[in-house]
Amino acid sequence: MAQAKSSILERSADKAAALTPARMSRSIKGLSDRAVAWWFIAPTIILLLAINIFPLIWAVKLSFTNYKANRLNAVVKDVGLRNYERILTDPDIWLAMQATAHFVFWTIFLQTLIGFALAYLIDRKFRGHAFWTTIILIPMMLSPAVVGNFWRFLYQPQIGLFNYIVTFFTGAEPSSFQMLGSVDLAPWAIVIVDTWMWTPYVMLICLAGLRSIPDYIYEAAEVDRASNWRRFWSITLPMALPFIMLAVLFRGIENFKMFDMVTLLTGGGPGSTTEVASITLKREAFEKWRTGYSSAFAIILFVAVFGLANIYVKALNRVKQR
Amino acid sequence: MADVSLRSVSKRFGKVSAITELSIDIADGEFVVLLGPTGAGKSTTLRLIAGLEKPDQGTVFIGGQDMTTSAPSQRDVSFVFQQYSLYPHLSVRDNLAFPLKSPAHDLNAVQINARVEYVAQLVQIDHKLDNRSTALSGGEMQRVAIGRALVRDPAIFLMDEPLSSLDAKLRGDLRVELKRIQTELGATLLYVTHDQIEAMTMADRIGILNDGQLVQLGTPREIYENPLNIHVAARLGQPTINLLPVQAIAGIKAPDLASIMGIRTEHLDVMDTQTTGTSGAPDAIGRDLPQSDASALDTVAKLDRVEFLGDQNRLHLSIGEHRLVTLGDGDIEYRVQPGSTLHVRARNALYFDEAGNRV
Ligand SMILES: Nc1ncnc2c1ncn2[C@@H]1O[C@H](COP(=O)(O)OP(=O)(O)OP(=O)(O)O)[C@@H](O)[C@H]1O
Ligand SMILES: [Mg+2]
Repeated sequence: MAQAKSSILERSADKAAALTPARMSRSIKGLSDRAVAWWFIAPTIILLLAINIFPLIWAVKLSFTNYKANRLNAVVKDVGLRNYERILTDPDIWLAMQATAHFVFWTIFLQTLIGFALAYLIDRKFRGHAFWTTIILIPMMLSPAVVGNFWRFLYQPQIGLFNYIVTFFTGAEPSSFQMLGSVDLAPWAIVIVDTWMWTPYVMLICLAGLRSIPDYIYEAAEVDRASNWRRFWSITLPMALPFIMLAVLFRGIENFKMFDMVTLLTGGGPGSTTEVASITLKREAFEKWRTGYSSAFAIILFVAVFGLANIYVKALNRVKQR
Repeated sequence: MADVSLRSVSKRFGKVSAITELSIDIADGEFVVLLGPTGAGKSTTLRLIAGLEKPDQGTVFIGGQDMTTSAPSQRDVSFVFQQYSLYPHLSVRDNLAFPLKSPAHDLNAVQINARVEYVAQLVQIDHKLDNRSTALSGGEMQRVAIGRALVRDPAIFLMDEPLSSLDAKLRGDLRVELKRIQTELGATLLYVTHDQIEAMTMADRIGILNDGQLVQLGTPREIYENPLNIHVAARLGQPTINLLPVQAIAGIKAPDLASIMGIRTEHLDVMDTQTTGTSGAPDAIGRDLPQSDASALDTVAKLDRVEFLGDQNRLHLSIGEHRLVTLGDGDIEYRVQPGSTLHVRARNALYFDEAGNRV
């Protein structure tokens, strides 16, 4: 990744140099346009190196050792690929990955479905649609800390509103089930909260996609006698697809490293049913202080997300070029 | 194919009155061209027929049926939009096939494909069938748009400046081709253009729109030779008709109510004063000079400028402060110089009153 970054930087330096007006470049004596451009972006590069690239490289280095951050005086041994080996064969890690996959899949699925549907409705421009858009956006504007605590109350079996609403529709006793305390329900409780909070975000992106389809395309389709159904499938959906895919990418990356909401709602429990990868990582790194081991896990997660995102972006570009 | 009628249709956009009390009857199989300055309401008229705009007043009949409130898909029209309106995410082939995939057609894939290829050849886009429709030049997009209209056999074709961004040669080819297709199919076609040659050669009748009103409707010859007012007279003719205030020039013998005289460029003859004098027999410079009709205009003008166009020259003349344009042979500049004085004489002048109406 470091290499990719620097080539991007180099390209932007060239671009900046090319864009510098001739008058300005002449007035800075003794420096070529390129050199000036480098001076301008140097602070950013240094900052990036210091807080992003350097720690990353350091983590890679630590991942090959048995370093423990709470025992600074202990002898650090090089263990080669042992950390990686142990992670990939550790059943707990695989459970955490499964929990993460479950969480990522269902949040994306629900948020895309509901978000697109809402965007589609809002795009009809019914009366008061601006007002409803604002209302729908509220959850997204709240802090995750507030949302987490707020939903803890809603999920309270005795006094929580959520259980009462479920009771209202199903007739089950409110205190007969615990959203956060039950092994079966806890993963879904988190999916529900994340969906509640982030569907508006997906809706916004989908709305941008729908608004980008010019009216005259629909007019042409109407004259060509396409039914509403066909207009949706052969115009609306394909033309909004790049935007939908972008929303999926953003939510996917975000939820792959989900930490705050899970910590606030269940802390990974009950048992380890909601222990997603980032929670496991935090436990290994800052509770068990296995710094080398957790560095290796972080690198694996990083490579996985980075690889998946890259494949996905390629697909996205193909869709856009179609 | 069907006949189309508008009955005193009006359409406003906010404060702008785009169409006022427009009535027009287009017979089955007729080719009608709408001419008019920009903003006259030509596109709006087509959109009203297609059902993309709902009239504020009036009725739209297609095939004898009242379609005023019907949706576009119920009207069975095909439309070439001024801004092309191709489906950007589809290939040229899929764009052309799109209208055929409507359940109203009930064609199988083989039939659709055959039809698409036939039409693609017709509009000369068959070499780009698998391009994305956004990866085309403006002229190519326009041909796809025409093709997408032609794949169907609708009640009426509506075409909004369909040849405007093609080069002269292709435009000529497609003009002939379109007319041929229209005749062959017996298609009803309403066509908007700014191009006089298209209007004159293709139209059965030409309708002149101005300010949302239909000023005159008639055969190309009627419109050209017998315009109802100045506006219509100025629509046709290259260069545009010369307009002179009757009072301004001594010696003009005009009907009583006339205040403006219109002389088409081909009716303005020029003679060389050097060789003939003002009263001698005409020595034609531009072309053979027929006898003038009672010399409605018979005076001296200064030659300001000669524009060489290849097959002909345009002579810019001035009589006092009034400017005139006429045509001359391709080699006229060897005989007269800008600044020299010429004798001009008009034939077949048209006269208009203060309000611009014919007298
Ligand atoms: N959607 C609209 N909203 C508001 N005003 C409109 C709309 N469509 C057309 N108009 C107005 O109606 C009038 C007629 O427009 P129209 O597009 O029919 O002109 P046109 O004859 O096709 O002109 P052009 O030759 O430039 O295409 C114009 O004054 C235009 O500004
Ligand atoms: Mg127009």
